[in-house]
Amino acid sequence: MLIFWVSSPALKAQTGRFRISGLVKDVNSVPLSNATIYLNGEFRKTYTDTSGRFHFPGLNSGEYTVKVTFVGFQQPSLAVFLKMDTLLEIKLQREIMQMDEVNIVEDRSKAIRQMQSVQVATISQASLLQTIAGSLVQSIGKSPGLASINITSGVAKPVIRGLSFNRVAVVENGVKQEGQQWGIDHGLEIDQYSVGKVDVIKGPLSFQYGSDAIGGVIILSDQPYPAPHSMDGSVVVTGKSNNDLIGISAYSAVRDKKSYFRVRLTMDDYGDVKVPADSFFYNGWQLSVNGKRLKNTAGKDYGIKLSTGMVDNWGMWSITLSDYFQKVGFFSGSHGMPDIYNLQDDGKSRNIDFPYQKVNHFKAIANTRLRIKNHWLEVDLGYQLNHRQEFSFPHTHGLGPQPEGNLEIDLLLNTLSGNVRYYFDKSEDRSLVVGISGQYQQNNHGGYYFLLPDYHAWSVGAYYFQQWVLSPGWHFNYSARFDIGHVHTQQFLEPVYKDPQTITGYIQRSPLIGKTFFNVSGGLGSSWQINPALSLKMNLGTGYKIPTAPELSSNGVHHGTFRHEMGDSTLTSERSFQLDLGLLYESKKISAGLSTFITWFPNFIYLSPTGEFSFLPDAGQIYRYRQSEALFTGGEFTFSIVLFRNIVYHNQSQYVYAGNLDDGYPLPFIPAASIRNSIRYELPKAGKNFRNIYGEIEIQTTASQNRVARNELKTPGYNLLNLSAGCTFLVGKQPIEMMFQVQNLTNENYLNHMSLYRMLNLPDPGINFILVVNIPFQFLLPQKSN
Amino acid sequence: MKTTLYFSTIIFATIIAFSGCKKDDQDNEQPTITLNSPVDGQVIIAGTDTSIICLNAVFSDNVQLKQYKINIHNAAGHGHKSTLTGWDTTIIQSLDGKSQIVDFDIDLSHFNIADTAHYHYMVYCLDQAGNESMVYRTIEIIWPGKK
Repeated sequence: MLIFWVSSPALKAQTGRFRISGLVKDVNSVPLSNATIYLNGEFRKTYTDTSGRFHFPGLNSGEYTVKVTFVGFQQPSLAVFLKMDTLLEIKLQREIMQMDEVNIVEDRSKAIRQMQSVQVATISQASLLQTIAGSLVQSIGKSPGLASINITSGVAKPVIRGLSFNRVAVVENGVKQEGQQWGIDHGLEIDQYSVGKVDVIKGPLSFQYGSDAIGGVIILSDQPYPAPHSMDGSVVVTGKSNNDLIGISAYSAVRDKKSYFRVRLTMDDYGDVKVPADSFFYNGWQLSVNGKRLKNTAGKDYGIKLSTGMVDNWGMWSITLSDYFQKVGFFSGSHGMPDIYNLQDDGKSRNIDFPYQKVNHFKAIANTRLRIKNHWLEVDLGYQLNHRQEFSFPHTHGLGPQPEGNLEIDLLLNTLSGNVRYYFDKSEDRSLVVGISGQYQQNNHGGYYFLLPDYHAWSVGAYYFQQWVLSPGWHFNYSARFDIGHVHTQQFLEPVYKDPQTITGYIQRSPLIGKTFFNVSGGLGSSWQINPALSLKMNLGTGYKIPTAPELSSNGVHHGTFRHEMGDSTLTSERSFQLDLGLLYESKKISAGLSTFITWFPNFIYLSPTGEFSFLPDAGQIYRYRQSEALFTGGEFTFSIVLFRNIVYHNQSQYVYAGNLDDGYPLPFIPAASIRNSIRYELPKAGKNFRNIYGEIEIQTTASQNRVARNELKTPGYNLLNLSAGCTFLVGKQPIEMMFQVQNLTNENYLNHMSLYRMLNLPDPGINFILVVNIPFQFLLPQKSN
Repeated sequence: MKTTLYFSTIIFATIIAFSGCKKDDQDNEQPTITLNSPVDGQVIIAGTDTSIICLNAVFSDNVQLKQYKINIHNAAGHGHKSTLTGWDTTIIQSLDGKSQIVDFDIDLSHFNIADTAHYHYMVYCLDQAGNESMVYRTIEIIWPGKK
């Protein structure tokens, strides 16, 4: 059972500013780190540190409920009447019979949570809704060390410490998301409303996730299960002024004692992006932006997610089916070239004209967690079908026949994945994980332009991870992994025409390639609670990435970038060696964190301009995949201080240096140094009907990026002013959560170095008012007495 | 604590050392193209003795020029109408030194397969480091007897 007491600390409540602090332990007094602590429902939450401590500073006097969740333990909830600073000591009882109460969803990142030395940034669904942007990647992009490469308002790809594309793995329900990540105009295909929690791991985690986890991993978890014999859900309505977005996402879950069923439906529909400019300057031309809207940047997204499963004392199983569809326009002129003809106003702002892309991502995932004595067997199986299409009018085709239809590029990727892990809970201070994972992929191409040949690829890996508690507050871990991977690309021959009917021969655009790669990777890590306020985390690791089929064999124009991309079949596995270090200081008033990293790649794969023009229509020069010695280094600094009652100042700074050590040039798409300064006010309760009131003002300062790769443009710095505010309003007993944001309040006209449209000199979006209304509901269902 | 300071010092020293790296021979400057001919909106009537599109351009770079490319294609294809004609042409030539004046004529006197249309006349230039620049003009080619 739960044992706790409320101690009366020596501190007097003379300042009128209170905090609830606590210490979470198991019955043997071993501190539990990374337990989730909720204050007054789901809205405000924190996690225990490595010594099991948590803090909720800046509280008013009043009634609070504190709820603790930790996998494998009961979830106590306790009421506190706060009159002075309060310290809770909470002892958790291991959960044996009542598995229902355990949120096993959290288990999916168990290995990572157990790995005390890695630096994890967690973003809850509540804070996602507060910072919502065009896509999941942009919404979480404010976290330290993260950035995004933006394609249009709803399409973006994640960047962790300057690494992106196939160097960041996104894992949902234990299965790595597989789309066309190598492509610059690909975005992550995830419905952002469907995500219950995001854990971002900076640094290589190849040991668990294989090839793509060289830069970091983004782990997405589902919503928590509903309580037994209940039905819950929510309706979220979103409106945005900048692109006139209307979005609705409805979720409902029902559960008897053990079995549950969940469904989510999401729809987003948006118009052209508004920019604070009437014109832009491109290649010597001043081109107008009609009505200050970027023509043909409208789009729509649909998401559906169904899941069913069972939770019991033996573990759980679940099956999740999801489909995400997006149709979004490319700015007129981003394929081909912007000119006064194709930028003429069509009088419409919500239509999707040529060129545009369609993406459909279907996933079927089965997860099983089985308890075997104190150990756990976990199995994740997944099938994914990613279908990405670009539509554009053909306009140059040489002497051959005129292409039929408007389907320019069509890529169909099938992926089968399987992971099996076994957790040995040897003792309270020693844990061990062994696992195997495998993946098979097949990609077929179509469309009238050739970019990438058909290919198939498979990989299998086995890994081992062990962690000890050397002494209280001092953890040590190591991991090792062995992998074998194979990539097989088909030869592609292109006919050469004398006239539209006569073929005179063939040229080989892509050769037949069959290559097998072996890799060994691993790491050492340690975390150390130096004193109650100061902790240190340190990791030394090596990661790897198998060259992707596009890196080995692509040969065609990537529209939207105006470049002819060419693979190199001689590429070898990319390898990285990283040292990272995190220092965290937390006291009553101040919390400060410093993370630094240095990563050396002996053979970093990147697209480099060759200085030679392509004969293909629409192309500028040839960009070839090359390998060079490269170095990434930098870090993040965060600092928070409680200024006055309920008011917190927060600072977050980050910097990435990335250089090619062979020729001295910087590497492309590296985020500029940035600093965010914010002041946030929070009030848990006001009057009878208002809860969780907050308001925040933020100044985002981004430095200029003058360290640019060959043929990359320098980007000047800028300042943005953002506001956010919100509250929960009670209508009777029904809470209604309202979250309001103003992004780019001053309507600053700026260029974003990380935007695909940077190369066209197109500014980023102007002022944007965002309102999100969330209406959660919950009912208890009648239960049978058996 | 000593270890912490030790590692922090190493990492920071490295960051500072690399940030302070001198940009030795880096060239991030794009070459410049001064395109004197053709001019925007120029109309060329194909199929006569004077049907010539003249390129007159000055290419220059701060370090070393590499190549230029001319591409002419139907301007309508990018957006709204798929008015494909059979004609598009690409010419790639080498450049040398820091500055070069180029005259290049495309003869349309025996040109007989195109529709009357607007064309993009695009001129690209590359320097040795791979920095690229591009300018374009929209010209109209009239083929007598064709719409």
